[in-house]
Amino acid sequence: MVFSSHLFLFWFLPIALGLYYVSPRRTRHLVLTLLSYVFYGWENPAFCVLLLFSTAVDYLAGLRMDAAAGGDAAPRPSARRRWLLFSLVTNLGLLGFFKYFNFGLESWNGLVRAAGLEGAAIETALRVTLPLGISFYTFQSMSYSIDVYRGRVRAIRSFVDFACFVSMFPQLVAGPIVRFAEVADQLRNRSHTLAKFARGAAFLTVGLAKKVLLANPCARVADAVFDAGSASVLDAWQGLVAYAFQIYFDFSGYSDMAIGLGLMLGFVFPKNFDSPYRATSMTDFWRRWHISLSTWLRDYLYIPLGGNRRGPGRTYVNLAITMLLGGLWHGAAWNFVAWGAYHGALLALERRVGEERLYSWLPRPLRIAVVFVLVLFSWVLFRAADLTSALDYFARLLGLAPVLPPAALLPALVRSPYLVATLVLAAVVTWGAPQTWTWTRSLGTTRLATAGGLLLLVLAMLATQDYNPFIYFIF
Amino acid sequence: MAEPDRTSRIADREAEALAEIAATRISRRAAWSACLFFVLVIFLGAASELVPLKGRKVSPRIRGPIVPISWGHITYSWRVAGFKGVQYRIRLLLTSVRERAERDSAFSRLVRPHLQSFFLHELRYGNSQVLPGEQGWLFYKHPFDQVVAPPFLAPEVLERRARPGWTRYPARSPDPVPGLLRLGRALERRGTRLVFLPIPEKEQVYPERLRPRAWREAPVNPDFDELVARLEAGGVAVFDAPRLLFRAARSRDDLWATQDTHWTPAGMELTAAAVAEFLSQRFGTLPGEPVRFGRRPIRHRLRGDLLGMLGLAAGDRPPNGFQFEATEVLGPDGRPYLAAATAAPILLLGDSYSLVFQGKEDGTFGAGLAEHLALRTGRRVSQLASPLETELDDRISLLRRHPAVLKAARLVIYEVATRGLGTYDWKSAGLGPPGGRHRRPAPSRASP
Repeated sequence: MVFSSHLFLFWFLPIALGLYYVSPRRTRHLVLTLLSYVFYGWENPAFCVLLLFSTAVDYLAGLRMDAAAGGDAAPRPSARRRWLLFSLVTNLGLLGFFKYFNFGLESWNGLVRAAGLEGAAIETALRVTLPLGISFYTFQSMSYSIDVYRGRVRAIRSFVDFACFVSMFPQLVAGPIVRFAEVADQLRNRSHTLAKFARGAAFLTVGLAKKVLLANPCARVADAVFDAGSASVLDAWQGLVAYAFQIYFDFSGYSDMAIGLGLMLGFVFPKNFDSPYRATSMTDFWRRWHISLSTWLRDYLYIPLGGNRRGPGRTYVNLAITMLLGGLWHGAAWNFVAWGAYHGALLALERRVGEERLYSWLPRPLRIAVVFVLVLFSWVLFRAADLTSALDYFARLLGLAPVLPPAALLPALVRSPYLVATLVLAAVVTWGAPQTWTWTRSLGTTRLATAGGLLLLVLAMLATQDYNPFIYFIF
Repeated sequence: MAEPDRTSRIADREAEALAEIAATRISRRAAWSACLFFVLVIFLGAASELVPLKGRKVSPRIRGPIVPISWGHITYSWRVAGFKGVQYRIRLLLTSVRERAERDSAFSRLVRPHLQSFFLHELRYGNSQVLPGEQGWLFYKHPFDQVVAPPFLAPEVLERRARPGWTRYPARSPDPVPGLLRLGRALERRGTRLVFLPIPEKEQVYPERLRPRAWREAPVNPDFDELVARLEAGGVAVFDAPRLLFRAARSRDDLWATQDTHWTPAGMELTAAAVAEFLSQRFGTLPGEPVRFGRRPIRHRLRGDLLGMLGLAAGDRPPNGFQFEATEVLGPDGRPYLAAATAAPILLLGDSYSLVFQGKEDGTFGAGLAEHLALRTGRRVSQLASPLETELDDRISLLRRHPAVLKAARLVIYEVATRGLGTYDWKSAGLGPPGGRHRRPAPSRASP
């Protein structure tokens, strides 16, 4: 189910809020869990089984690791390790199978065919469908097992509470990746106040506005240009900038909605975006973009690999590995690997040369512009259908690709006054408007009236738009 | 990537968020108002979903059952395909409920027409299906995507279209050529010739109506010529309608309907005449006995499918559609000639371009492509056409379901919209032996 849809806003949400608030306090997590499974199962009910299985495995592993920690008895480190391994192998096994089976198979077949070993190719009719949000809830669930193993949190006793944490519908499908440690206290005890609910509604409205008013129109431009057979240099750049805005407003809008819905249910989720296109270096960009993922990768991959504690050479290797796997997390395709490699290389370069030395000679607006362009190039790898298409798109950007006659039709769509105005508005909001966290901090009459107007506008706009799933649904 | 200090960043992030929420500044009255407003909006929205709009025409989808599934559906699915069948049936149900909520909700039906009118007139913006052009011309977005699409025969494009997970319905055979050649050979074994007739999209005939500039050549897909060459080399004759109509459109603007996807009677009649001439040049004397057809002018009405897709307010739509002058073809008996699925030496396999000026529903008989082909060739023409059965396998299935029509046909004209070249699945089960039994497959997903 998609937040920015009539089904969610006019059917699911009223029912969910109604049921949640009329339920006795002790059954609220059960109600929330059941609602979340309905929310999740709407796309494909069968995937609920997978979610439940993954939840059960980590719940069991957490309990066993906690028991093996000792308490009054002697600790059993090997048992703890075994259960951690059980959790990791199960989670990564599921993720690996569902997300990377098709990719692995195609890559293998491509490789052996290129080597002339046709006989070694694996022919199978089996094609695996990617369950919605598996990358998100697997990471979320895994962080729990690892944190229990490390002794940072105690295992949770109630299965319903744990299932509620893993499946909570506001952030289940596309994050932010909420770690157990971040909500453990709130699962036990949290407040439901009018101020929280009102701010949640404001967050939800701003998120909806980002998605419906900005991301969706930008998507029309980006999709038209990226899916076209050729494009002029100007159209190619417009398509790329449109995609940069689309992915930002799509994803940060989703995060705002998730945070808002969480607040309405009494939960406080941490910030996931911090104006990433205002970053002054790539390192800074990764402190601001999809913070819940970048901190997850840092805490559970980069630092365990050794971080920057083993000398410069190893630091670069660790950065490269982290970003490569980060790229692969986003999608099972070589262009995502290249996307990760590109970011890894830039981060390593900044670390090697020093951010200040690289950028300090530039005035701040120019620094921001340079970083934005660097990020733009990475979005080509991210959005293109595959690596070949990405290379072709780079050629279009540089004017090196032939422009075929049908491409002359593209401006009819991408230069539509409404879409151009939306792009300009998106730029103004990106670089000029306050963040949602800041804007909703003080909710006076003017802001509430603005939010109310935005909500009505979004609902009206939804009536003219088709089903528009979020970009991150496929990751 | 920045290394954290020793203190736990997790606690920091959580504490920061909690502190931030605790610092929310809102008066109690404002908070009450905001919460009430929000709850009211979503609950009123929910209530409006349950109330049909008074005085408005309710679509059949609304009149249908709220839950379009029955126990019988489930048990049937279980018998046919087991767990997968039930799963499929449930997914179908959930998707239909979602679509219904989005498209047919009372709120949407109330708001959409006015907002869409505003978008069209003030911002010159359509919706995901319709692109507004110059001077009131409207264009269907789906063909537009295909016109600007990459070369449809490029190996990477073919590979991508067949890749599971890339599209909702991966094509088993994305390349049109092998399937068409196979059909051509199968027909040839029966003594029948195949002629391929790709109908251009509106954007290809009148590109300047979408983007004003000097168009020296038709914006056809770069692989179109390769397709023609490969089919011709394999023995399938191809009539290049896109370029013919583009050239004709340089001097007249009445070949395509301004607010409909389809051609006008003028565009269709021009094509029919050119195809007839092409057939005579290519095959000499045409098969079958000469027949003398007559004609008479009639007025025809198009409803404007693109206006329908926009869902404009009532005031923005002509109540009775758009009037056209058309020519009805009369048989030797002086009565309207209607090319139906009957035995004739020439057979037209078509889609909505063939059907657009036929039938009672539109107020006319026998003014379509098949009738005009009959008029121009002087031969009887039969027709097998369906707006939903547009893919190769569907067409073959149509042929197999009408063995008498197939047996009589010496020339088969395969008409298809050019958008299908890069979007349809061109898999083919084969025509099979004449008179063989054939199970009717389900209609394909494609729409005209």
